[in-house]
Amino acid sequence: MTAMLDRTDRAASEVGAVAARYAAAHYNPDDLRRLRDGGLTASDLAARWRAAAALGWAGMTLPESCGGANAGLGDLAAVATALGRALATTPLSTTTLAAELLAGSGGPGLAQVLARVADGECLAVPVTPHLWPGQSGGAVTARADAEGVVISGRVVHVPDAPLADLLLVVTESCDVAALVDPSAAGVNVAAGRLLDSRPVATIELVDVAVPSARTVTLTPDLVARVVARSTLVVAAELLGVAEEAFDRTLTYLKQRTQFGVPIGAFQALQHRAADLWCELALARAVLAEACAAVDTGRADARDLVHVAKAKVSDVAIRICEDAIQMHGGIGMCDECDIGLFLKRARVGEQLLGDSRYHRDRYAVEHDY
Amino acid sequence: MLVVMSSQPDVAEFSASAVRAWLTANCPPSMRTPMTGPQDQVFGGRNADCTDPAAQVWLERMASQGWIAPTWPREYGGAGLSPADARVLANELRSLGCRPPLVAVQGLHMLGPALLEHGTAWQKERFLPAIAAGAERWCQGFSEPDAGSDLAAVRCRAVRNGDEYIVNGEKLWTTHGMHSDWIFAIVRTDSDVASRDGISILLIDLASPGVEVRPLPLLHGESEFAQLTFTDVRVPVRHLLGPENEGWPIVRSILANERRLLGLERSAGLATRRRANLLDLARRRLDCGEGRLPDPVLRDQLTAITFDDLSAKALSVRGGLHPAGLKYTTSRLNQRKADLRARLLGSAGLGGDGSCFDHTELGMTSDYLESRGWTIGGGTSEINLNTVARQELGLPHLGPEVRR
Repeated sequence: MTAMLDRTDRAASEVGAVAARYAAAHYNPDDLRRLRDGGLTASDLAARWRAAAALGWAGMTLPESCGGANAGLGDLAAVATALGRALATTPLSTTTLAAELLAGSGGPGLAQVLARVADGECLAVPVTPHLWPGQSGGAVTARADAEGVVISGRVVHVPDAPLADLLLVVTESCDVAALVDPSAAGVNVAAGRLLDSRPVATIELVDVAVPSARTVTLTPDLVARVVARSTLVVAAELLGVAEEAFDRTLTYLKQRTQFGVPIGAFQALQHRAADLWCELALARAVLAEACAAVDTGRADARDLVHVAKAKVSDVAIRICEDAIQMHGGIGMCDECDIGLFLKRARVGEQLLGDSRYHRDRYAVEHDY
Repeated sequence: MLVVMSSQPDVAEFSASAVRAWLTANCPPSMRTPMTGPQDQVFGGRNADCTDPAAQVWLERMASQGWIAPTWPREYGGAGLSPADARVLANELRSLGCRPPLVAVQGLHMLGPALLEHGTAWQKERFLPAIAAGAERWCQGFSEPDAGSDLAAVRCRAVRNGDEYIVNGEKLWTTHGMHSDWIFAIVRTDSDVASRDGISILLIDLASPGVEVRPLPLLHGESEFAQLTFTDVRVPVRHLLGPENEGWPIVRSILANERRLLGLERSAGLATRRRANLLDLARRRLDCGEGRLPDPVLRDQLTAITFDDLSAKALSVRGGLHPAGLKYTTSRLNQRKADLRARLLGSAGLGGDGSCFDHTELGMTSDYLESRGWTIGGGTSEINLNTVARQELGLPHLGPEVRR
């Protein structure tokens, strides 16, 4: 299918190859167990991310004037897929969301923050219920005072918040965001880990005073556009998870012998694998198409974001669940990596909306 | 008769705008309207029954341009276009809403490529231009009563006798067999070797003495299929495509082309038929106007199918799946669509005949019944999954097919 790759795809595949090499050298599925068991901490992850960000990943889609590389979403997706394959626990999707929100916003003191976020020196994490859409995830309200704004509220289960140098708190009306130091007075961070070991925290803000110099102005349109882009980044990561889980399962089908033959010779398993492979091709194609549509500003971009996240989410869950089944007894064991893929997929499925959510949005946007 | 024809745009000038200009000038207005039904399709052939003069003019003009088979060399009736230029042409035809001037899948997309690759100089000159002009219509003679999924088990025999083969046997599931002029048939030329080694491909004139063609009605009553019987049919040796006894690799490449087409074109084919918008049907069923559908389950079903449709469309644009997988995926999706369409009609989707059902309703019922065959014809879903498992995923064989 090389003939069908256009120039953009080729560039994306080169970026992806670099990311794959980096991820293989620096991340390992076993990290998820070490995070769970305390051998690896949120600050270790933050340090690793700062090192990885030297490759330009923190702000790669930002304009050069903001310290970014002006890369297309297809390039960023290629990086995310490579990191997903390695089950790398990184704040790529959240910090990109924060960086793109900042880059699209206005307000005093912005340029300085943005440059530090774009080069990975300052790890910014967005605090907004948009991350888990379709549930009541809390909200933050702001009231103006003489110095700036005072914000209050609660947002549940913010991924990567324990890694953050800076919280970008988006208010309920989506017209202003506050740059908040996680250790500031009135900020309560209740940290934990998601089932895939990814650090997470519920953020509670009680009358946190934010000077105007630490606020930026947003619009609901900007938030929607950036959230849609990040939805594809999460989908791309999830695609990597699904691809790797599939590849590992295929290898296992060829290696594991029962009744004197590799189990992959049995038609029941062949059909299962072939069906998943077709689904994977669909997911890959619709994600690539959605990234291209967003990058070129096509009219169907918004539709394709919904379709891509829905398709990749469903396919990733199916593949990761079937992967365990096809591994049989060893698939149930903690010592086997295959289960780690399901855990990551389970989180990625719901992050920025599962298939049910995106189908519903599509129907609403098309008036039926 | 033809009116003024502009000349073939120069290769160097092959641009979307030049193509569009030619198409705008030469495609009759009625050929830029959606087809109203299968009767609007033009199949060509010796017994062409096209009664629409505009369709005839459109076919002749496109054929003169070589644009029926745009990538074939000019000497064989094509235009010698690169695949990229052919895509430009296809895009323009689509965006202007031009009807296909000729529907000849078997000739253009299955036999044609095989002839170009494996045919003798005589065969190419004799057969390709007639396909590209819509003058001769082809069908495919592959399956037999005892050779379906196990295609290499064909028993139709061809015995060499001087300059001729004498053919005896049966063919089944021959699409358009009732209306075609020629058949490319796989025949057994050696019975003493393993099944795939004694197979050859013969190009047989269906007007030959000893050929009997009968229709094969399906669940929905109609059928594009025929069954054929050959009794001592004499076929000149120069009608052998590829080497004797070594036709199997060619058969496989033709099958791959067929599956790619069935995968890509199934929805396009349906577009010519009764294809009511699922949302409109849902509104009618729920007796509701504009705005949100009051049934959230139905709404989600509609959206799920739309999403799968858009994913399949993305796959056809971006590629990346073996033709067998593409056929498997698309046929199942279209089956689900046909099912939901008929289901939305309620009792109106259960009609057999009579004045209490309208044409569209009967059509959707018929489509539903026909759709059960979409996962069978052109390779069953199970055979296609086997192909994906073995050819794309490299999983091992198990069972009697390991014989050789």
